This record gives sequence, C-alpha cells and structure tokens, in this order.
Amino acid sequence: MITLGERRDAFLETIARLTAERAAARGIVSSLRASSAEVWDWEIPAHWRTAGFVQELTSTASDALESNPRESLAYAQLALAIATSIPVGTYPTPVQAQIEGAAWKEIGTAHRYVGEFDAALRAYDAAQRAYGEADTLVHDSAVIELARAIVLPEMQRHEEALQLLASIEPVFESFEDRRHLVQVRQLTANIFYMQSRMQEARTVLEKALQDVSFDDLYTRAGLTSTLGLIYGQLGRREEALALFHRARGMFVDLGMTGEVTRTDWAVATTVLELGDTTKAIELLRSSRTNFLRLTMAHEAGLAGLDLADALIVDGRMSEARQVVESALAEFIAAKLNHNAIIALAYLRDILPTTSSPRKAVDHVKKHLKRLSFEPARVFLPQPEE
Amino acid sequence: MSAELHTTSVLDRTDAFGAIYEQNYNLLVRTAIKNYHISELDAEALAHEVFLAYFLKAHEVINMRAWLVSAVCNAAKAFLRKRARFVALPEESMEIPDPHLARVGDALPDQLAGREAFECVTARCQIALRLRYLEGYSVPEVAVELNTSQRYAQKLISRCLQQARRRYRTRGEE
Repeated sequence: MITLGERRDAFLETIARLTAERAAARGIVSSLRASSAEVWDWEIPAHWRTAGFVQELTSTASDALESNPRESLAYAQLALAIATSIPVGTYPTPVQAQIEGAAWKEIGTAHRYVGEFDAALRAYDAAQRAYGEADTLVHDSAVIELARAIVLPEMQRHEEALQLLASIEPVFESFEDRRHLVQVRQLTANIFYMQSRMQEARTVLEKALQDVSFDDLYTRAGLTSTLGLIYGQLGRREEALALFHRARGMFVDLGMTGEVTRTDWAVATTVLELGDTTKAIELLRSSRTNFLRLTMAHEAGLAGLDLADALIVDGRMSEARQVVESALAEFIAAKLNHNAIIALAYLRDILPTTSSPRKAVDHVKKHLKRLSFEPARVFLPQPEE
Repeated sequence: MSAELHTTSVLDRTDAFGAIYEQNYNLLVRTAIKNYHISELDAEALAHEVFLAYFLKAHEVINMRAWLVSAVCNAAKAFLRKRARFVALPEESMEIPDPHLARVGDALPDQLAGREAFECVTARCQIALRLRYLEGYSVPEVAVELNTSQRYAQKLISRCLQQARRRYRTRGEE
C-alpha cells in the first residue's frame, strides 16, 4: 500500500525532473534551427531525449506558427522524433502520451496554416491516438477535436464540424474552461455564417460575448466585429455599424493597427451596402492606403477590389480599372501568390470589355479570399454567360 | 546568482504543486470512489495521474479546483469505459497458456531489438519510420508530411530501415 506522502513525493520528483529538463533544454532549443538539414541527420544526443526537451521544442513550434508555419512544422516534427526516441517507461503515465499528443497537435496546426488540410486531420488523428493512451487527457483530447472542427469547414464539411463542436462544448463546460468554450461558440457562429444561417449565428455569438472573460479584450473585439458582419447580413446595418465602432475602439486600445484597419474596411463595405457610395469610396481608399502602409498587400488588394466595385456602382469605370492595375502591380511587387496574380491579371484584361463588371470583380474577390486558406487553388475564369 | 534564483523558483514551484496535491488528493480519490464506484487503489492511481496531467498544463488553467474535479470525473468515465470492454475468462483458462505468449521466446527479443534499433537512427529516420510503421501512413502521406516527393519518401524509408539494421548491429558488436 502506497501512502499519500509517498505518492506526493513521487509526483514532486516527476515535476522537479520535468522542470529541470525544460530549463536545460531552453538554451539548446533557442540555438537550433529545426529546418536545417544538419539537425535531422544527427543521431539524437542522449541528453535531448527528455520530456522537457520535447515540451520546449513544442512550445517553440507554437511560438513560430504565426510568423513561419513551415519552421513551426519542423520544430514540431523534431519534437515528435525526439519523443519517439525516449525509451518506454521513462516517465509515468500520462507524461509520454501528453508530450506526443502535444507535438502532433502542433504538426496538425502548422499543416492547417499552410492549407494542407488532409495532413492536418491525419496529425490530429495521431494526437488522439496518443492522448487515448491515458485516461486523464480528456481535456487535451477535446482541444484536438476543436482543432479538427477548425479544419473541417475549410473542406466544406460543415455539419461534421458542428457535430464535433456540440460534443466538446459540455467537456469545456465541465472544466469551466471559458476560453475554449468561447472559441467553440465563435467557431459555431462562423460556420452558421458560412451556411447563411445568420439568426443562429447571431444567437450563438451573443452567448459567446456574454461568456468571454472581461480581461480578454482581443477575443471580445473579434466577436464584436464578427457580430457586426452578421447584423450587416441580416440587413440591420445601423446596428452593424455601432458594433464595428465598438470593436474598433477595443482594437485601438490594444494597439492593433492591422485589426483597426480591417474593421474600417468592414465599416466601408457596410456603408456601401447602405447605398452611400461616395462615403464608401472615401473610406475604402483610406483602408487601402493603411493596408499598404502596413505592408498588408493581400488585404490592400481585396479592399482595392471593393473599391473597384464601389467605383463601378458610381459609374467611374476608368478609375476602377486603374485600381485593379495598381492592385496587380502591388501583388507582383510583393511577390504574392501566383494564383492571385493570375486572377487579378484576368480581371484587368476582362474589365474593359465585360458587360457585367461587378460580377467579374466579385468572382476574383471570392478567389482571392479562398487563397488565404487554399494557396494552391487554381484560378478559373468566370463561366461565360 | 541566476542559478541560485532558478533553484529557488523551482523549489517554490514544487512546493506550490506539493500543496495542491495534498489539499486535493483526498477529494479526487473520494469523488472517483463515491461517484463512479472505482476501487480505492484504482482511484488513487487515477488521482495521481490527474495531478500530473494538471501540472503539464497548469499555465492554461484558471479554476484549478474545477479543473481537477472535472479531470478525475472524466478520467473515471474513461477508465470504466475501457474496463467494460474486458471479458472475464472462463475458469479452465487458468490451465491454458495465453496464445499471445506461444512465441514469446522469439517475439520478445524481436520487439526489444526493434525498439533499440529505432532508438539509434537519426531524427529524420525516427520521424519517417514512425509515420510509416507506427502511425500507418502510406508512402504518399509520408511524402506530404515531409514535404517531399513520393519517390524520395520511399527511398528514405528504405534507407532508414537499412540504417536501423546497420547501427543496431554495430551497437551489438561494441
């Protein structure tokens, strides 16, 4: 019979060991470049084969995700390779299962960032297999299901995603994990939005806004802005504008210039829908200039297409063509996605002759938006009328 | 100086987790026994694992007590689900050797050799062999994972198997 004291000591021994391993790994990991061929061709040194080292690499992969998803993938794969090399029985349950599952999670997320959705789902399956080795990783497992639910809509598998989200909501509720709960609701609302189920989207999003932590200004601002989009779609454009202004204020407080500009852009398109073309043109020009100043060429291009659309509505065709020309030049200069450049070049060529210029702009705009998630998507011209 | 500070912070951290363990251990064990009718021994093992799982993601947890209780409840349910799949063996099975152990004399050394061979390959081979043989990835799937061509992925897997064999032999001769 093991006493409480003995169990506690064993627990403390494990956590002291993991903490020390992680501290020892920090310097080595920060000097590593996971994508360099060298690291991959070494036999893994014995002192790297620790759970702390794997945790540190996984955490580095997570940090690198936004700026460089390929590098993040390399770190996560290296973490998995090292986790695989740790002899069986080195750590008590659930340590090995948790570090392997976490490495797989980062692999999946990096794949998602570069638009490799099948690979992302395979990685999430592997993460679930790892977590399934222990009874105590139910929360980690639910987080993987959430990650899977983020990928599925990209593959047009909306219903599966909604089912998954419904299954994990009670898990996060039981853990009183409000952060993930809000994410579940935010994603559910986004899927409803994609399915044009605007009323349901609104209900879920308003619930999410009630649950979001007061300190989490970023999430609150994002939810408020999305709610604005939904109100816009519901034809409640004045309320949409009020929500955009509220979200904008929060983004200003957070110092997030990019998000402020994004919200300005949403305001401009809503103003356009309200029929005030002159005001919309002015706002879209300003958003586009700000995006260019922030070197956000993709967003500047999309705002440019909205601007071209507004100019067409206003009967200013030659100005619309000039905007498309400029957006194309900016995309080429910024060496953006080849498929986006082809789409814009098509628009430049077709705009002077087409009888439905707004449809052509909309077709290219949809393609450019899609490229954010599917960079390899090939552009197909609009079917002839 | 910084090493001393580090040691102090590690000790503080360990003390904090030690206190959390002592304050919540009985609650978790009792919850598993009372709500899920799990034996004391199993409940203690589950509670211990829950604390380790908690340590691994404590930085994300806001309500520690709720997290621990929910974790032990979910763990108990998972434990019971797994146990429900067990089927009692007939009494005469006590006299019959486990068929899985029929070739244990051959299989066990092979398994051990496999593990050791796996351990001495490069990181690139660790990941390639794991994807192919432990996770059941097809060669095209390995190629996508490693961002390479199918042809190279196939070649890599063959080379890695050779590398494992060669290094394992060399290690045995040392």
